[in-house]
Amino acid sequence: MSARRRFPQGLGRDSLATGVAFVLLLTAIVMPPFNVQRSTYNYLIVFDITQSMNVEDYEIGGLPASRLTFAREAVRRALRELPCGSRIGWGAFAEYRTLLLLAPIEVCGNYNDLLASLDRIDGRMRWGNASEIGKGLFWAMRGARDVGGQPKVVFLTDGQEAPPLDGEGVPMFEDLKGGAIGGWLVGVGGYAPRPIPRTDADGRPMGYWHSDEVVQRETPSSKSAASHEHLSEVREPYLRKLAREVGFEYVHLQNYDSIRDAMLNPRFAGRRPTPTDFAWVAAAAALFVLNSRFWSRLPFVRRAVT
Amino acid sequence: MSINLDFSHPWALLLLPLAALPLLWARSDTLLFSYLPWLPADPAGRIVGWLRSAFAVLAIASIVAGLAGPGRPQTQVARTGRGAEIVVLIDRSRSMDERMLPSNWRTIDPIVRTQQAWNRGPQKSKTARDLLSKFVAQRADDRFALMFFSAGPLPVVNFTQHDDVVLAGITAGGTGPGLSSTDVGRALIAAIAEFDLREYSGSRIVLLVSDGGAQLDPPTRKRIAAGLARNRIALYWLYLRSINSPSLDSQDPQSDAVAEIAMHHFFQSLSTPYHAYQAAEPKDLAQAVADVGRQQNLPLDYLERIPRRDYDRLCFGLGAFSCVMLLSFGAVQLRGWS
Repeated sequence: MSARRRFPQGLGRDSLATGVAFVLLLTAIVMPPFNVQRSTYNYLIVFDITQSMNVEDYEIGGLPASRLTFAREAVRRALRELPCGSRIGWGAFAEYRTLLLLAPIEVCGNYNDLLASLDRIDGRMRWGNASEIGKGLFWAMRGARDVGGQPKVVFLTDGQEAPPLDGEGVPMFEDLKGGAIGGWLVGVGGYAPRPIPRTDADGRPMGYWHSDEVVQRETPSSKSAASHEHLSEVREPYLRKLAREVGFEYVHLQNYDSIRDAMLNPRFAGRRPTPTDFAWVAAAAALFVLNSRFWSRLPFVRRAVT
Repeated sequence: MSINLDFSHPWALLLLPLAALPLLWARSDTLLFSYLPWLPADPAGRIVGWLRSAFAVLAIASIVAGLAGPGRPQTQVARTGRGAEIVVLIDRSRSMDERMLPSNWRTIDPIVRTQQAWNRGPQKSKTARDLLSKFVAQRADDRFALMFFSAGPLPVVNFTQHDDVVLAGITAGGTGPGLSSTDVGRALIAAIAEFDLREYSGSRIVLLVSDGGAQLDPPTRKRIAAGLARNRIALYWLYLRSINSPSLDSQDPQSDAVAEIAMHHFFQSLSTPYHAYQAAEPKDLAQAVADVGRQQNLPLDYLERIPRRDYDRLCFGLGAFSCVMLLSFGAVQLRGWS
């Protein structure tokens, strides 16, 4: 038997394919994960927990839902869509302060804990009844600066200052620079003024705030509209002005997607190396090469060849 | 433990029909022969041919299976270890921003010392943050929950074994100045309530980290005492003393006028375990944290998480082995008559 008989020409192509597949598979097995620069996000999300956030001008599943509940639900849904490696932290705003609750942590590994934490952010945490949003936003920016990791801020509020601001509002704290932190100011609430439910410290409802129980805006002339600080709607012009001042973007929370689209905005993405396994590429190539041996056996391919 | 398997990219299994390709009749493998019955019986050849198809199927199927990302999902196994369930209750009031005594405080003139309360020595909140972080990191078997308090309780982290979350909470607690009001009573009641509806699975602690006390009214005292007894909780008070604040172990009968001492006496009167750690210097606080660690090491049932194990490399290995077998069978196949 000659050597030529034992290794006839027909063997060449098939064995070559099998050999290549074998090498590709070995590559897939030993291949270490590579670091790939991927878009991730890093946000400190601050919820306004003052009483006007209890106004129920949203709906979840056909039932009325308060601004805070809806904002939380929107953020919960957005969390699912953030790429792994993104970091999220929580803060709450009341009185004139933003208090950090949780420093930003990785989303995928701590998903359940993040949600459990989010569920507990509500009006019962409130440490004061005032609502000085400008200052609260500045404190949120300080928090983002001091907490490390340079998160962007997402500040969810209806924009109702209590007591109301007269004139220009509070100047930004001197240690902050407009545009240095960046983030979103999210306007929460409908456009129609609604009465504000009143709750006690434990969150039990106590009717509504009346017009003589809150500080009203000074109305200089009879021409300007009467002040209605006991009613609440999203104060968009004020929030837009505030956002411009601190170098934030403004968006109105219309539906769940508003916040998701805002948070996934590429402008706010950071790039961080993420170990990524590419073994599948080599294995898929092996599969392709191996199959090229057998393609011709498919009935329709066979007919085409002959 | 049952073997359960899942796929991280199950859609890749749609490629599985490809594995049937090698079973189809292949014209290229056939040889012309005039009369089949003249061929000698070739049982070995039949077996080899059969095995060859089998390995080809196996090679393709295992690569497809590997691409689908098979693995044993993350599971939890109940174990009994030593540790505790700890609610860390951190004071977020303004006074926590004050400084602790510098380590050489005994040598400093008392008047100067008072002036230095705001600018010398480490901030109490920062010291507490550093030490608590170490404490959490050291005690891997414990389950922690985290709650801040000011006018009311601010629950931050539910009971978890994920240290990262607890540490992130502690970090947040040390960022930015504190709030103006403090209500220890409400906070304690809320911390005790964290254990309501939880199965009793080991020692339970409320670790109060605060620099001040409050005069608790009788109803509050009653609720705290009843709650601690009902949920079988030990109370530990990490009392961060600063300049000018009273020592807890004063024997003076008048001392109950001081809120801290009154609260300390009330805690001592409890039927449940209580221990106070006074920390005036960072080093005392370290001692106190270590002490808590030593004291509470009773058996605790906990769930150990076993991370996901991927089997894709195993599948690719099987595919590679099949390729080797295919190569060796290919070498003995008769391809032509000449």
